[in-house]
Amino acid sequence: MIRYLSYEVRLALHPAVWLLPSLFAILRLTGVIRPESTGWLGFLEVMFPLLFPLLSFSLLERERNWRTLEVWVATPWRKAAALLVRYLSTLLPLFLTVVAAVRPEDYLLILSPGLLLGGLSLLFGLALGEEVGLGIGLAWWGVSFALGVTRPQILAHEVASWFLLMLSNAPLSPQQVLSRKWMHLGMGLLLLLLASASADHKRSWKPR
Amino acid sequence: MMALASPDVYVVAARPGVPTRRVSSTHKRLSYCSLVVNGAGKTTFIRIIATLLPPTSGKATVFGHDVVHDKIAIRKMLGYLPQEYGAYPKLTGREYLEYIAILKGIRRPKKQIEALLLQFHLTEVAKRRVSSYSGGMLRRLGIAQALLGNPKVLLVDEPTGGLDPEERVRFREFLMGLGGERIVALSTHLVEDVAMACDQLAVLRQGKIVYQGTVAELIKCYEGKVYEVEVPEDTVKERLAVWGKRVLTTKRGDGRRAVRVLGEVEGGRLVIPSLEDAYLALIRS
Repeated sequence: MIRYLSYEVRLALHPAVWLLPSLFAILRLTGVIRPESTGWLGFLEVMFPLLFPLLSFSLLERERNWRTLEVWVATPWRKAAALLVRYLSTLLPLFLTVVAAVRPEDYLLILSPGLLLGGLSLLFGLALGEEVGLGIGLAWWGVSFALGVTRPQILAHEVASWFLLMLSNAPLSPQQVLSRKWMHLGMGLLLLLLASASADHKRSWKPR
Repeated sequence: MMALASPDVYVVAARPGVPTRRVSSTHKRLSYCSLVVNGAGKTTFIRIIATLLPPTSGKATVFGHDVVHDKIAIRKMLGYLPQEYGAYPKLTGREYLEYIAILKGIRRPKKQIEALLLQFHLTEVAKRRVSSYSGGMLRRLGIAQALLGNPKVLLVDEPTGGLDPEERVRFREFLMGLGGERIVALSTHLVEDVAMACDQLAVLRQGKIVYQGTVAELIKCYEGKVYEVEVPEDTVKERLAVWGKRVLTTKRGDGRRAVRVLGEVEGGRLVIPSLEDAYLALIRS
């Protein structure tokens, strides 16, 4: 099992990605980053989720380039699991970056929108093509960001606030923010499971 | 109905707009070739058996298992080398085989991996990254991964495409050694592949099987019907125009062209047809 996981981590990650958490750790240790700063949290909540759809896209793009999907047909049951493990491996440096950048109570605030967008991009990327998956992920992020900036009052709306990703400056109680973030996290995990089921049915990439 | 099992093989090319056909054969040695005109459905045929593509109509089975409803059972007995084969460039050849062995659920695969590396002349390069492999090495690695777990059915789609002549010959020799214990379904548009590697063959044209039987029987069908005539270079064009579709092959000589034609021609001598002659005669008839 350990041998298998080591293969998946090697296949999923370029060694350079470890620079990101290392850099954040250095910045925090040297006092450049103050994890409790609301401005810093707001910045991360806006920018950090962008990395997740990009990672989903890069994961699928590499699979397409390596042309290994069809070979997996002779490995029953394991394709979905392998893709799931590989996706989670790509997220490992991002988790470590969050650990380095913010306090434990803020992990959910930063990670949940990213997991939602990443799961969405992965699912639609597998079902409709990587570009479509990336486009949908970025579109959700873009609409959330634009509405948060131009129509901040919409964040107070009961229904809309569940769909918007950046809530740290929203006129909501901490419990309301937390419930929405948990929902985003749950949706992200659900989309990930759907994506792995979709991977099991995917047999080849559509030609470009 | 398409069924792949020993000793009977039923084939159907199921593509949108292509009518379903049914053909059967009873081959004894468990190797099987489909020789197909480009675009006729050979990859479709292989992909249906590999459970990658459902038949648009009819039913397909492998050893009694339905390709639509019983995919897992089929995949457990399958080895597959797709036409567009890729391997993880970051891994070495040995690591790649180990990774695939883990995915296939093979316990303690090291012995098997070493045997396959040896069999396909990859031991010396097993420590090198796959990204540094030549096309021939990559194909050999592909067939090695397909053979992991000793599958009952081996599907090989256009294995010699893009290889240089030396690698092509070497790869055919490997393929020749793989029959006997398992069904080997080889799809190719190269006549030489079939001539060297197969006893049984099916010829598909526009989704329809136009011949199924042994290589020797196909050649025998055209014995006494193929003539060769030497034509001066300056008259080749007009002679070819006259003979039209009857022309099978032409070969350049010293100022002359040896033309093989289906049916008797003036000045022609009767020759023993090659598999290529028989194949072309079949396609053009």
